[in-house]
Amino acid sequence: MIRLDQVSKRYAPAVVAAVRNVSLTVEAGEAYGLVGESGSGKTTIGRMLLALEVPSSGRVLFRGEEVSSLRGGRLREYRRHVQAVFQDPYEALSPRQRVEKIVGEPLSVHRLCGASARARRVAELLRSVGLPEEAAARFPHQFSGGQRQRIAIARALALEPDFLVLDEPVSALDVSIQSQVINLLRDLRSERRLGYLFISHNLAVVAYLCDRIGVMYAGCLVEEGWREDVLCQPQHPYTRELLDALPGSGRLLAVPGPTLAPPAAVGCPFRHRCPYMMEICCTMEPRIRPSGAGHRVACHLYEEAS
Amino acid sequence: MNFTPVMLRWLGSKHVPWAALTMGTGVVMVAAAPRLFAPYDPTRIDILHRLAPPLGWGGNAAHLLGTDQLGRDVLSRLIYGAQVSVAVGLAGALGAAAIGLLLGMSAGYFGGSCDAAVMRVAELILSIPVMLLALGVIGALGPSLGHLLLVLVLVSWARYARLVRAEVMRLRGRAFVELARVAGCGAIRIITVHILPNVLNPTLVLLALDIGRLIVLEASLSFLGVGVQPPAPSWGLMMASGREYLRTAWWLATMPGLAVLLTCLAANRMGDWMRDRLDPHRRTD
Amino acid sequence: MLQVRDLQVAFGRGPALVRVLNGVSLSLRSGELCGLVGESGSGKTVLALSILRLLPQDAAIRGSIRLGGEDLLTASAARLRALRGAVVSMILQDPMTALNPLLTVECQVGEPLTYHCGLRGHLRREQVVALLEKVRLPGARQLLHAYPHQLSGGTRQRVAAAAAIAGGARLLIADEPTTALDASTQADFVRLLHRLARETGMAVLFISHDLHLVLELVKRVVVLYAGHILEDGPAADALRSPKHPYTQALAACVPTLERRGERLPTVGGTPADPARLLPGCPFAPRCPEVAPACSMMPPLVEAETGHSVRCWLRLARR
Repeated sequence: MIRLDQVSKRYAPAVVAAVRNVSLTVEAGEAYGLVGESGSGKTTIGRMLLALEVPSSGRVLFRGEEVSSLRGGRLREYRRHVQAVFQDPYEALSPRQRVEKIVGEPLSVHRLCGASARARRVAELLRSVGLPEEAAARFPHQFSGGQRQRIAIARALALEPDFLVLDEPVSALDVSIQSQVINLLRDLRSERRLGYLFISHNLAVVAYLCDRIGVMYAGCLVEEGWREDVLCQPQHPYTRELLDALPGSGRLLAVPGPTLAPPAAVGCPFRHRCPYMMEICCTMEPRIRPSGAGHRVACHLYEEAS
Repeated sequence: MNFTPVMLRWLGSKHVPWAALTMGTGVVMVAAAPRLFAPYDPTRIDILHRLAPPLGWGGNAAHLLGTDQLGRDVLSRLIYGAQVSVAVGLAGALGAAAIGLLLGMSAGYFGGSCDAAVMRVAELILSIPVMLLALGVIGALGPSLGHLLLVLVLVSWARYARLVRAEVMRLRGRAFVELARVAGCGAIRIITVHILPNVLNPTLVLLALDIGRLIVLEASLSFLGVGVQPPAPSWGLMMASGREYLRTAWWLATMPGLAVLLTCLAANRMGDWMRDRLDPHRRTD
Repeated sequence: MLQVRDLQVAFGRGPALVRVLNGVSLSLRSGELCGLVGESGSGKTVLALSILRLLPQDAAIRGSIRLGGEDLLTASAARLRALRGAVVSMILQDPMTALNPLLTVECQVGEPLTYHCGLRGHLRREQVVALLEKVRLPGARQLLHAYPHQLSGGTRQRVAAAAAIAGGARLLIADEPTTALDASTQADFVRLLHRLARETGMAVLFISHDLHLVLELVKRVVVLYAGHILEDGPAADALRSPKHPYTQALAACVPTLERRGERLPTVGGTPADPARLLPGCPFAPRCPEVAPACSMMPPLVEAETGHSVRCWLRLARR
């Protein structure tokens, strides 16, 4: 349903590209998790998908249509299919509108129903995200962070989209609230056959929700595969580093930990941090290539093997 | 003036600013129909009773605030002068705010050449001394109330435009505005529904401050002879002509000065109050 | 080292009085790593700020805070300034706002050296380099003239850590130091804290909302909820045999790889708001095992040696 074809994004000519030659596909109803540290380009990919940014090169396709070429009515039509939830629930809601207006706005913008039908639909949406109907009459600042994130989800669902871009939707929430929202997103997905692009820096959260996982480093997709493959047989050294970094195993202090080094400009961007660095890594950047059923990796270690 | 601190405390109270509201509506009403309130014709000269002090300082009830050097009733002149001051302060500030909002929002939201054009003009206007610009325009067009208003709007809108533009550029990158785009809102809806209510606050504050500034500016221009023409009364003109009598008849300059001060205070207080009312965070319901 | 006894902190007065800490007692020995876990509104930051006496003027503080035998609540302002940085120090959540954007790394790390140790010039620079190497920053000498905006989040937080330990503090309070960091940088910073504590022998109070992360580092964990300590015990027990229902819930609801794909157990409701607390156990409105007795506040009782819990159910079961 969604296909990125050699997409790059460069904000200024002199700056290193935020996204470099990323190709990936997400099928209808699939949950795709995108993991990486801040600055790895994962958020930029989400924004290009939402038509908030235009790729510098390459194509972002939705059902075969190029998203950046959509204008006017076609763009509005596209908006009905793809919606978003962002990280900060305090930023995401217009501070001066009541909840009924916030949740109902997509409906009125797309002229989907009259005022009374809209009120009923808003109540229904609020119920489906676990909020009381009375919430409609209140302002965002009267809710806690977790409740606001539910409001943001209700708004994203108002147009009955097929696909949600979720950019760190639980990172700003308290732990006990995180689990509530993760469960809500799981339930909504099975009820509504939604596809997700779930962007997060936390591999464990992604593992809870996603069928497939892509790992990004310095603007490149370095590994991609089915959840079980990526988590149980990680190939790229960066994926292993991420797995080692997860708290809860009790092994955190046992692992030596990476050196803090910025991505390399020439060769493999990860090489300064990589425990397996070889000579070839300094000169040639590895390209992402298949390394198993539905598994792809960008690392010279696996090129030699194959 | 021992009642000024009391007035300040009233105007500073946290709840509904009754004093400021009364003062504001009072001034507007008086300005709308001075005929109903003024005890005398403001231009009637009565040399026999010239320079009569106000009631309480040796004057009598016939002239509550005393008379001026030509024996004209100060209270009546204040009341008629309110007309000019209110027209200038309110209409000038509102007009400037409206133009500034419109241009500032387009510049901030659309950016690019629109932004560049608006901002260059705004900088040009802000870089010329206000007085010089005003004198130049009035000199070219000739003095009249309409031209005075035009000048005041012309020299004031740029400050609103700059303020609004900065606010809009800040808001444009906020998540709720981006999500409005994702929801399918067009530019006009985003500007009117999501951005405008959030830039009204700072604009209102500037507006309240500006009313006072414009009243003073009108006074200065009238003093220089390019604003309101005598014998028509205006607070600025009254202050200007009363200046010569400060030692012998303090009320001539003080009374219109007090009127300006209280009107500015009331305008500021009402601005604060409106800002609180418009901000859902401060509203309790 | 640090002894907090029955600390009560409240803001405001009259009907607007908000009790943020309600009788918190906590002690830390030299070189001990202690974790303080709590959600927003639990009062964990207020506790940290009261140890440094950095609370705003209108905060009403009662109880006692003793640091190395000295009462901090009665200490003079000058004495407090001498203590801060030299004896007790702090790392904050956001490394971007914790560093002054206009000062170079050398100035920020070197300031406590000048203030507390009187070091200047060449000596100070050498000491700053040593500190940067201590927090394992590669290329310490090149970093001296860098400004905060030129550094990545992880590097910034390490610079903040170097500045925090520069004065030779015996107690380091780390208030959510990793929340703004990425997963692998976060793990790395925890490793750094561990190493620093081992090398310098300072005590660390590690404050976080992430129980699993805290447990990686510390030997003892204190669970704070709505200004009350609900549980205080060995870290090893907190995951394997948590006593308080809240600790149980916190341990269960964090997503981990082992339980991927399953539905997460959750705690219903929202974190307690200290401005709207009912009498009784603060966790009762969200507790799955709530009983009639919970409308009264249970005492914090030692259930096992070195393991205290505040819950009627656990008391009854003993």
